[in-house]
Amino acid sequence: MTSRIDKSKFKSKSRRELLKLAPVVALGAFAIPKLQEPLLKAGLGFSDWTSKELFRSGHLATTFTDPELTPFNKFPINDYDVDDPGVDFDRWTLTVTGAVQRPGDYTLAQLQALPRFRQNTRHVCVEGWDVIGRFGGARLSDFLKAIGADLTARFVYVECADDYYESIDMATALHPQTLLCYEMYDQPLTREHGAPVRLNIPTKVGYKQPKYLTDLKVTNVLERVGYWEDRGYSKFYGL
Amino acid sequence: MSTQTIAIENTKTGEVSEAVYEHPLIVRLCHWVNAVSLFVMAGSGLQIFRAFPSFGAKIPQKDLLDWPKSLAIGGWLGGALQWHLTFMWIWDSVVGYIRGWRATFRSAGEAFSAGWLRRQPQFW
Repeated sequence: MTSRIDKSKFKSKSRRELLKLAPVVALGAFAIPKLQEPLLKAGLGFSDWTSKELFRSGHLATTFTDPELTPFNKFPINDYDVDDPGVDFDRWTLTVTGAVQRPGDYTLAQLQALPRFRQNTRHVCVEGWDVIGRFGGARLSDFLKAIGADLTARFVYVECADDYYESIDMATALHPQTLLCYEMYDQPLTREHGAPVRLNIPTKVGYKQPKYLTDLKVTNVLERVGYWEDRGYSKFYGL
Repeated sequence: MSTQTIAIENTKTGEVSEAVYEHPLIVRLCHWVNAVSLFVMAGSGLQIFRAFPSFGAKIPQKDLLDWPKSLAIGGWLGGALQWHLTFMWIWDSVVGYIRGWRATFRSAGEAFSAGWLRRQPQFW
């Protein structure tokens, strides 16, 4: 060792120490309140985009045999669905607007006149639980074709009797397992499960399958995305 | 990692200086980005776990998971999912870089062609 001290070496070394911290400092952007929300939005948006790109129209969600079904009385109902949304079943219609050739009010009988499909599929909640249920109804794609919807539009937006609202991308709307569901376990939907008509989408998480449908709109522009999406949940949330 | 110090002699001047072994810069960058990502994903993951319902008296919610909210990230399920999914990509890109993107995609392709993924009853 020499007694002479090379100061430039000390300088370069301290710069290297700083460089070590640089990426952590970059991640510190997440700690800045102003940047945090846009960064997290971008991260979630990127996840949604990749989910959308990976979605395959012809690829079916897993179906199950009857013995695998969760018994109907064990099928969970979220607390807020105990409140009666007050649907008048005798007068109920699905009001269709937007990019369709035949807008108007459609009755339950008109939906039931479309080919009926039944499927045993998994219902997955964002909270982490899942059950296997038996759902029946008309394919949303059949209904969209029947009303002359513009199938190149980007979204199908629905509103519900309990002030819930939701939107799904057109690729999912046209998926063969996406149902305008009016049956569960081969019986008409009960009020707790969304009577008279709900959406059943096995390729999506539960909050994207609203109950008590009243309005349906085919559109390219969304004023609101969905009840939970507008509070920060994923917009696509495919399974 | 123990620090190793070696002496280097300049052959022209005969000056001896110290050198300390360090990992390449990219490895150190990846390490610290990963360290932060792991912390964020664990914290937000616990918040996501907090949202799991107990379904009544059989398992009371407090017995299911009584993790202090102050140690979780995101504040609520939606916020935690945002943190978790965002840092998933940061984590993935770093892990992908370390493994090498080519190796990552090649092994994923092999898994697919071997039918491993197709044989899985579910994909989560």
